[in-house]
Amino acid sequence: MNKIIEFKSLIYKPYFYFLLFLVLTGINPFLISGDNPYTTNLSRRLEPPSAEYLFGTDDLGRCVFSRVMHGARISIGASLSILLLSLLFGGSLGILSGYFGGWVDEFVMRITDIFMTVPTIVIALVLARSLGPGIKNVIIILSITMWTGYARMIRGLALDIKNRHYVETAKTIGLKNSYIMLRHILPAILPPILVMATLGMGRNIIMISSLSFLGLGIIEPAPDWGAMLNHGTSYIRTAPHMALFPGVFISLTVLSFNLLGDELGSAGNGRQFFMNTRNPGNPKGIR
Amino acid sequence: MWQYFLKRILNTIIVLFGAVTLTFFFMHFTEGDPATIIALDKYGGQLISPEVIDRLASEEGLNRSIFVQYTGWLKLICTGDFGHSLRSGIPVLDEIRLCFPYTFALALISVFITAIVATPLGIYSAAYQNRFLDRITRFIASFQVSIPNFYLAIIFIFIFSVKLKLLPSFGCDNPTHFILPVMVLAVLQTGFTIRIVRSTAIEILESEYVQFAFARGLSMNRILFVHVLKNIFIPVLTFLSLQFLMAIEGSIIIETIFAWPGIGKLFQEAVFGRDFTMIQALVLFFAAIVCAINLLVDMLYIFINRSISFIE
Repeated sequence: MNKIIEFKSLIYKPYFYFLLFLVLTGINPFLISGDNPYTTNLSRRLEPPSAEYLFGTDDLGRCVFSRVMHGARISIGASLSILLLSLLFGGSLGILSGYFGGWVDEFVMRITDIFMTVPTIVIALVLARSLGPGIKNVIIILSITMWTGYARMIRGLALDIKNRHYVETAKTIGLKNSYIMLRHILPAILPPILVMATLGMGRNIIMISSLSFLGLGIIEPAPDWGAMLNHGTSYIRTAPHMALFPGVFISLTVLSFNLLGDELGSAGNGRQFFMNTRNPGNPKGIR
Repeated sequence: MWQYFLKRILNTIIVLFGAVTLTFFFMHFTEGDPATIIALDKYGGQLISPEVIDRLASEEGLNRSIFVQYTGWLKLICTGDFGHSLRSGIPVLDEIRLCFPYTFALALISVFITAIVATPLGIYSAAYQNRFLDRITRFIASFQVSIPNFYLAIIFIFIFSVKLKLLPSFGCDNPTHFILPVMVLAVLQTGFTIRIVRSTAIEILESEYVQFAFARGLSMNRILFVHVLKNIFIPVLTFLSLQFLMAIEGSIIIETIFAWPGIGKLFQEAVFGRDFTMIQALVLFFAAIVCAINLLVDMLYIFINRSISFIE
């Protein structure tokens, strides 16, 4: 349990460096690209990739490379915020309903049922249309739609731990419920939660860019990957680089988070744990 | 068993009711006045006056309080009347009935192709773990899981209709229009499906009766395609039904890109036009499909299990 992450094995993984790169560019995009992502230059519109403009220029003569780099900040930042909010909300409800059971459990589970029956993108689109576009709204919308998955899984994990002997002992000696939940249950389910969170980052990035792609998430002129893709689609015949490069970055980022999640899952007992809760009839866990 | 299904159906009704209520209130978070927006849509910027907006609002009942609107609407659906589209004026159900076959066809064909491609690949990678084929399919599968559907659609449009000029990229006039959207959906689904088939097959290969079949000296192919395939059927079928649901969900984006006249595009247009009655009906429709498929899978599970135990 102490060694959740085998950092040693990560040193050999290219995706680890890609994520590191993205986080660094997210912190300061100007480190990588000198151009301002908002500066337009109409005399140099729709130029193909060259040494000067690594990813070419868009229809307003803006540097696509610097826009993609600045997009890292938006994508990683927004999906991290969504992750934290939905994990905090869904996680607390999940632990509470797993630990207490009864009507709390019933109530929370019925609500998650409702959210899980309607496709996520459907709820997100309806909400996005009424709240309007913008980074803040995207974070609110996706936190509202994404918390249910975490609540469900964490409830399952808590339910499993709750019946362990050490938790029952803790109850018998009269420890407070809040203490048991925070000090006994939470640490035990932390590794699978970490795996879930890593995989969740990838899912959040896809959801953010899907909303932006449909024009209801983060919109121009903000350099968001999904919005750039949406904008670039109109120029697919004349300047395909406008759509292709942001898409490559979305895919690679999601891929890296997925691979990292798989790695974390196989390093600790995270993935097995994670799988067990979804399919109780499969004690070995799906590989 | 009947008690179980009765409970399930009751639960489904509660969930559908909740879904409808949720979207109703989510839709009314809006800051703008819906009547103004619909009027703008219908008559254009110059023609609308406060009178027009008022008339429209009272016609559609948009000026009443949210709670009154909600109960009124709820009463209507209970009688099976979903109202008519605020934009086109056509009854909502007629429009859905017209569009759904297109979405259904896309989803069904793509799931069918997924099953044909992913099952043998998954079984082979399970049988020959860590060999070349296994590694390459797993590598590709991890890519397929990570590419967002709209990006894959754009790449395919770029390759097949812009560069090679082989396939049409939008509309739905003849069978060639099916190829690109089906391909996008199928490629996305095979990644997940291969993973599931592989892990299920590994488990079956480790089980005792397969070990016994090996001991009897049966050939690998016979074991894979008789013993393993038979037992993989139910879990894979369950998973494919999930993929079907994902295809329906993905239709919202895919159909927007390919200008496909299905319910996904209908929904997207309704959301953009704030066509409240249409959005409500479609949300209920999406939720009903999900519930129906889940229920169907459960029934199938029980039915197949029973017949198996009956034969043996």
